[in-house]
Amino acid sequence: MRLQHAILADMRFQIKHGFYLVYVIITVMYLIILSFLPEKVLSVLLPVVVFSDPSVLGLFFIGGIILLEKGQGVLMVLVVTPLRSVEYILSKVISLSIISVAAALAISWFSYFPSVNWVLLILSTILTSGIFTLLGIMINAGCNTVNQYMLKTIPYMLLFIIPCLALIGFPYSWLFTIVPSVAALKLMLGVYHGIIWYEATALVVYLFIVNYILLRFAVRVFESKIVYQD
Amino acid sequence: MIQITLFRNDIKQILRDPVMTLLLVAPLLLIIVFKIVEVVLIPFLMQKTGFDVMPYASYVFSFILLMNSGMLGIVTGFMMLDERDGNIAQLLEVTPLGRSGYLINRLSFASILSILYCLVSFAVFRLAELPFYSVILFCLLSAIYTAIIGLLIYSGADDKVKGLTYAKGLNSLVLFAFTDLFALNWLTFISWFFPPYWITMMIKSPYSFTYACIAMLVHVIWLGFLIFRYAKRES
Amino acid sequence: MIQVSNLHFTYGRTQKEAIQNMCFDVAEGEVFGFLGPSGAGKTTTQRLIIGLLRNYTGKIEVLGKERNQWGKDFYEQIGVAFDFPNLYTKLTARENLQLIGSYYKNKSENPEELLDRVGLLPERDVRVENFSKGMKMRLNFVRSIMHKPNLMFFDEPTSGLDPVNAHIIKEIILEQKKAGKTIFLTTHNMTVAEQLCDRVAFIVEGKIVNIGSPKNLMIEHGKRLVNIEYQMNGDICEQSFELTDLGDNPDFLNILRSAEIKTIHSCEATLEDIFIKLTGRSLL
Repeated sequence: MRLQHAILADMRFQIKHGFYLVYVIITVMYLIILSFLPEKVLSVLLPVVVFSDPSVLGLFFIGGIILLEKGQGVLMVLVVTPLRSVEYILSKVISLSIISVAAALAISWFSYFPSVNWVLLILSTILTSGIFTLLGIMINAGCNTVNQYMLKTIPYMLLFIIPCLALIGFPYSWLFTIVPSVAALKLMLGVYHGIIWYEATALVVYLFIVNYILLRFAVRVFESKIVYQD
Repeated sequence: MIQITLFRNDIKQILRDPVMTLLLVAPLLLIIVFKIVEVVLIPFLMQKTGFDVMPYASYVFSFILLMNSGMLGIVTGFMMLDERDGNIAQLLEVTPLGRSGYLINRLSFASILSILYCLVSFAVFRLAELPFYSVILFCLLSAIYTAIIGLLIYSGADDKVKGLTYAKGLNSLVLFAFTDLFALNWLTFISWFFPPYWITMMIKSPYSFTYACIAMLVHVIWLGFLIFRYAKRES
Repeated sequence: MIQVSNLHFTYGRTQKEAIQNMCFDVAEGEVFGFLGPSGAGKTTTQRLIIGLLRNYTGKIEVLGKERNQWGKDFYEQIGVAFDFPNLYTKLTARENLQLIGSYYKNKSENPEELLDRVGLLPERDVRVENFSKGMKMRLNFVRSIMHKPNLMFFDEPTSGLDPVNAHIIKEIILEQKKAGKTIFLTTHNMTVAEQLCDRVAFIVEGKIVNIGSPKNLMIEHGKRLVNIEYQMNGDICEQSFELTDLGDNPDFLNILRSAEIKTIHSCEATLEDIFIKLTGRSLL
């Protein structure tokens, strides 16, 4: 119940702040560009676009959201309501992943790519979005300005993006799948190129575990850095 | 005098805050990354796939210029938003500096940096073959573009989160630097109204007086409109 | 309701001992005032009881259980109004109440009624960003009581309010008390404390230096005198008399009978006097 209310409140907040509108615009822009590309290029670029924008938007927005709630003092009030920290965090993760999924679906649908595994697309977008939003919550603790936050995300982004180059393929490059972003991108490529069912299952399970661990961590960091001021 | 003291204060403040310092040298990082790409990746691509980037060089250079000045605008915009949330802006507004003085101070600081990085970009990417006056013109346009982005964020967004939404949208403005590639009439027509398109056009034909004039005009109109809107809302 | 004994607390970051050996208790249905200059440890104590600070030593028993044994359910039963209005500025007054109210199991009181009570009903659908500071403070206050908590914490509830609105808030606090609720009030407004509190504690540098009912403290720290100002033969005179055996004091009775009395005051101390005496510093 509480979680449900929190998600609805977060969604309303995001609508009022124009998240949905800006994603409609961005989606249209992507679609225009993608429509010019031959299918061969599209088959590489489409997964990369879906992976690099809608799936990662949580990392971009969550910093500002929490900073704003902290600045307005609303966070202080939420802390003294029965709303649990884990519910607060889950509400952010879920509400942002709804935008991720909507944008990912729209981009994939309207670029008329012939073979899309829709179920897997939704799953992998949610899992990727979750990882990045949770990462953002952890980075955010201890930040006071948006600029500070953006700067702090840079090393994490590099840490997550550079290993993705391993997907080009070289001896033992599969070892990099242990990096969550690589696993997520692999799954995302599978959405469009097809993927063996057991590999997909393994990746989904792995990403789910990563999400769970990050959630536990995020709750810990959130409580120690933001809730309690001792 | 007030201006100079404030500038000095700004610099002091920024140098004391490691975050700001790092963000202000971020354009330098971007330039370095692109230089590495130019030296390493492009010959590699050429050799491996036969894909030649050279025809697209002007688009890439336009992209670099726009990213740099845009980034500086975004950083300044957020600096001002944070200051507003922290009520520092309110404080500065009641000093002799005033509301518009505060805005001019912040924006011109970013614009000067933007000019600096514009020059650095020209030096690094050996585009010295461009005529001198057009380099000056690019510097000016960079400065204006930075101010436009900063103003868009500051006056358009009433809090940080709206600022982020704006920044996200503004990032896609850069795409207009590439619309010329698609050669679509309607798209080109829309692009006419956006500064990035004209930066690309100017780089493609540096000797065109017409392009230079239109580019300047589009930039100035945007800036003028934003200043007008800001002033009207404040009064 | 609240029992605090031998409480010590040190901030981890600064290693500053903020609370030293604090002991007090708050009975059910009582309005308890926590008075002291800024930085004395009022807010720290309040945060310890609310549970925003951990790692204390000593005992804080609240609502029948040690504070660090409580989970999040604790918050179902308490209401907190911070000294700074914490509101969603993009939402309207009513939406603010509905949203926060939805996090409690207890069904909230009717938001309209509450808003009407503090004179915000006409502005119920106005976004909070357009509110004045006083309006925000009032909204912040009703939000803290709407889920009908048994124990309430108010931090400077009347700061930034004009006398009329301050009076409304004070009335609501007394109503809550009448309904059997317990109230923990932090303030450095001595008038508010005097008007509302059954008992007050004075905090200086993390220690309680005195505790008692305002009335008793005022008598205890006052002079047993009555000060009388009167007009006799066209002159204004002033004279003080011992309270002891006042009725048999011929000089006093003589003035009462024959002079035109302007004012008569007993000389108990004001809370402000006591505060200055106890803390050795003036109010901020």
